[in-house]
Amino acid sequence: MENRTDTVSERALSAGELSSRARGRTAGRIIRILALVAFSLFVLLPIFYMFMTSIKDQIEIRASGALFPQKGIHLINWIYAWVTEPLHLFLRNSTIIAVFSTILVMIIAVPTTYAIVRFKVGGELLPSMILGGYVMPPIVVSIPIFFMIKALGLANKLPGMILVHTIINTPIAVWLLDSFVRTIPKELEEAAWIDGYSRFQTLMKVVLPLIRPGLIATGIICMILSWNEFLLALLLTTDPRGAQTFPVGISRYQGQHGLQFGEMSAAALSGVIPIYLIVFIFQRYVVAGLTRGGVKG
Amino acid sequence: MIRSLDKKSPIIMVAPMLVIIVAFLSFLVYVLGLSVTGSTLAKPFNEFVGFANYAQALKDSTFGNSILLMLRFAFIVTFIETFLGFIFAMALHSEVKAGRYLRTLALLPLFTPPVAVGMIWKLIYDPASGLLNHYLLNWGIIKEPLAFLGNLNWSMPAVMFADIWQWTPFCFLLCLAAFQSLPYEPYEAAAVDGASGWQIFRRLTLPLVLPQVIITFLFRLLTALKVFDLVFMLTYGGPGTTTQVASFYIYKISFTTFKTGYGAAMTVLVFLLISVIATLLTMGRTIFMKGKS
Amino acid sequence: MSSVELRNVWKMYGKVIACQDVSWKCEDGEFFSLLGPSGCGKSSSMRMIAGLEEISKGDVFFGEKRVNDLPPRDRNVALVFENWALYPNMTVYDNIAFPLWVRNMPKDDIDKKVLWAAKFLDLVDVLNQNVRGLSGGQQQRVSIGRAIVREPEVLLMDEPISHLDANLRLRMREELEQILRQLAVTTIYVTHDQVEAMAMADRIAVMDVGLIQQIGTPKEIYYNPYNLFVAQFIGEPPINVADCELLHENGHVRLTSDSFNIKFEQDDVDKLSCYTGSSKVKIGIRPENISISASSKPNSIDALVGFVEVQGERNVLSLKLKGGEEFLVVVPADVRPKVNSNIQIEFDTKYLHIFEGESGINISYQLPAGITA
Repeated sequence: MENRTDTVSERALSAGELSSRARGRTAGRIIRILALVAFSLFVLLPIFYMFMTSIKDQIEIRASGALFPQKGIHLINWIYAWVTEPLHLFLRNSTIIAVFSTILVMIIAVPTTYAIVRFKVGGELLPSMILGGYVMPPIVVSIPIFFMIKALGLANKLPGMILVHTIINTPIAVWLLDSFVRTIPKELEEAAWIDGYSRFQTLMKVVLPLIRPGLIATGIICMILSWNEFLLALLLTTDPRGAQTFPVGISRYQGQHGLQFGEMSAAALSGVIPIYLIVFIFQRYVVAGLTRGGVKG
Repeated sequence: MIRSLDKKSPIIMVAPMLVIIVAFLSFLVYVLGLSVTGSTLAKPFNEFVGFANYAQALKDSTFGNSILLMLRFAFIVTFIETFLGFIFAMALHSEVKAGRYLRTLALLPLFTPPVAVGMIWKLIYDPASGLLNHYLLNWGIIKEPLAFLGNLNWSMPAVMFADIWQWTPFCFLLCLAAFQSLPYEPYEAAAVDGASGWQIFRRLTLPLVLPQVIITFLFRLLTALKVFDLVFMLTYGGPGTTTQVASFYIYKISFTTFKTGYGAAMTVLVFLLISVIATLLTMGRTIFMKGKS
Repeated sequence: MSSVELRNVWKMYGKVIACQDVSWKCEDGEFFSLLGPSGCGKSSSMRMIAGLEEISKGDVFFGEKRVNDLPPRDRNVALVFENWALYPNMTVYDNIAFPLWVRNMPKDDIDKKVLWAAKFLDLVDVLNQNVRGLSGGQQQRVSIGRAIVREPEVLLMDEPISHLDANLRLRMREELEQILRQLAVTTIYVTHDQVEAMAMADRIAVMDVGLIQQIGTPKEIYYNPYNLFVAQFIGEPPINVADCELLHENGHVRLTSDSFNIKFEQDDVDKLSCYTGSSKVKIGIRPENISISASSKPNSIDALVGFVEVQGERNVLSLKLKGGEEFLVVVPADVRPKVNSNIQIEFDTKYLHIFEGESGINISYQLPAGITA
């Protein structure tokens, strides 16, 4: 009854509506529905079109660009996608690289973030450098990384890509985790110390469970970033039996066979749908991670 | 015992990160080193050439053009994406029930591999098989199919629009967070005080969300300067050099003509430019924030 | 300025009834308090008056004008919120000036009015500070400043000082009283703190679970509670209540229980003698209306001293009666019986209330002789 919630959105009323009742409310609702439709169309149309293309007949694709298949549904593209290129290898590689690099990233980033927040290691400089690491165009480090990996003999090998992605994504992970770690009140940790935990144990047993949403968000984001990474994978991998990843694999569909849109669509969707599923399941965490980091600036 | 362990533990914790930082720094040093040599992909560090690479870069009109393209691209898309994101956030922030749906939707373009985004839009823009041409022709807006990506005038806007598709929802999410954290009671007070919708927006809402909108803008601007994947997939820098942004030109020079020394010099220059922009913007933002309070 | 009247007002949130057939009238210039525990409907009533909630049924009148369909901005009410609801991005000056800006008042006039309000509320020093940095007391005053600066028809205050700490609350209450007396604007004041309402209001409407329990002056409510709820809600320390039986005897009424046996004489109360309801009743007597008898008298009651609380100028005794009831008695500071000793107490029957067992209605409802409203 006297349930006063705090924010404008939770009350599901837009601000202007409070001052003018009846007329304002319906107009507002119409605008909101229109916005919802517009936004949905904006986001979904291209993806939907890609899906439609993947089930069109190949001749039809070459002839017209209509939204819906005019000549029936064909699954041939999907078969070709998996057959003409070793899509399963691309997906395998990307999965392995994403998972393992993310594990490494988390192992490195968590203690680092904790140290930065609690011990203020590196002072002002370190956080700026880390942010700089994220903002830097990959092209800047592409040449040295290329030479380094070649020198280590890890070109086109999975461990090589895992290493590269770990290096690239750790700054981002630290930046994301930072705002989560900061929410833990010091008193909790002090209580743990009094109870006899060492600093490290406190980190593992007290802090980590409390920032679980942040860990999930960061992990998911890093996995997706690794999965999507293109430039370095392009430079460093040449062969799907080696470590060639999914994004590079897709680009091959255009090189080798001319523009086979049907197959490309099917191939792209094969790698993209798993991501979409993950996003759908974990969206609350991911958004929290992104907006927390974003809000801090 | 615990005391001494604690002194060590911060260092232990940061050690792996330090390795990464060292790696990064060594990369930068490496790039710097390359830039003063006449390196090629096959033979790195073959001869010292001083600042010859830099001089060449500064004279290279293609390079200059690529920088301009990069800046133009980044500023235009950032403005549009932040603006659209803001509008959508303003319109939709009170849709609590659609929250999960909206959030998922907004994340889809963001997490679609840029390569795939490139592919989708390549398809959409295609003169024969593409969605755009099909309906533009059907509705009589154009008489002949338009090869957007091959057209000197349309290639850049086409790439921009693909980027806008990918990143507007992200800006939407960030602005949404700002709108959804607005406190409720001042709005009731404003209603009782007699303010109209517009007055409330101008005096209350806008000042409160503006900081976050600015952060969104800055963040997106810096990340837009990096653009590569889209260009690679959609236009490969062309037609001509109409979409050859800085990162792409550097890629071409370093990895297709193999002049890594020259490429490194350009990399350093671009990196400096971006750092300057970032610093200016951060300073500008701090001044702006201080001015407000 | 105008009067405010609620006629048969109902408020429903879905199936939940927040206000049930509420009717009252606050006169022009009156300080009217809505008093009751959380969830009683007082805040809902206030929000309906302000226009922030729809009125489910019934009417709200400002003077002769029916305001049900008017949005808040057209009602010319000012509301001081429980959490003050200040505009977080603005200075004190801007917060107070906001209602005037909204009405496109010329800058100089706004300036004059804001300065007047600031002087009135002792805010001149912080006028250019952002409200986020102010103390609770200051924020509350800014909230009041914003409300009074435009001279509203009705001033609504929703528990404005309940979020201050105890000391501050006392001081602010005194300041508020002064400010509001000076302003002489029709004021409706919502609170759950009966001390506040009793001290400040001209009249009080006591509410519980959406229903009006009683409307009256502080004195009326204190000395003549309409029912058990009002009697127990008002008064500090709270009224003592005990179950007993009501027996009619020749010419008088007898109240008996395990703890006491009182011959109740109220010559001028016809009500009691013609009361034909259940004989199971409750008596209520306030701690200050019980005295310790030196010797045994006909109506004396045995009690065991449980606890003696020394409060400075008075003591509060916690006593246990024969039937197990715990009674509180207020006595002068020099009276300090020993714990666990037996004493005799006496009820001042002039102030004894009798409540019907089931409904809680006060069947001895009238003002004791000598007390004027």
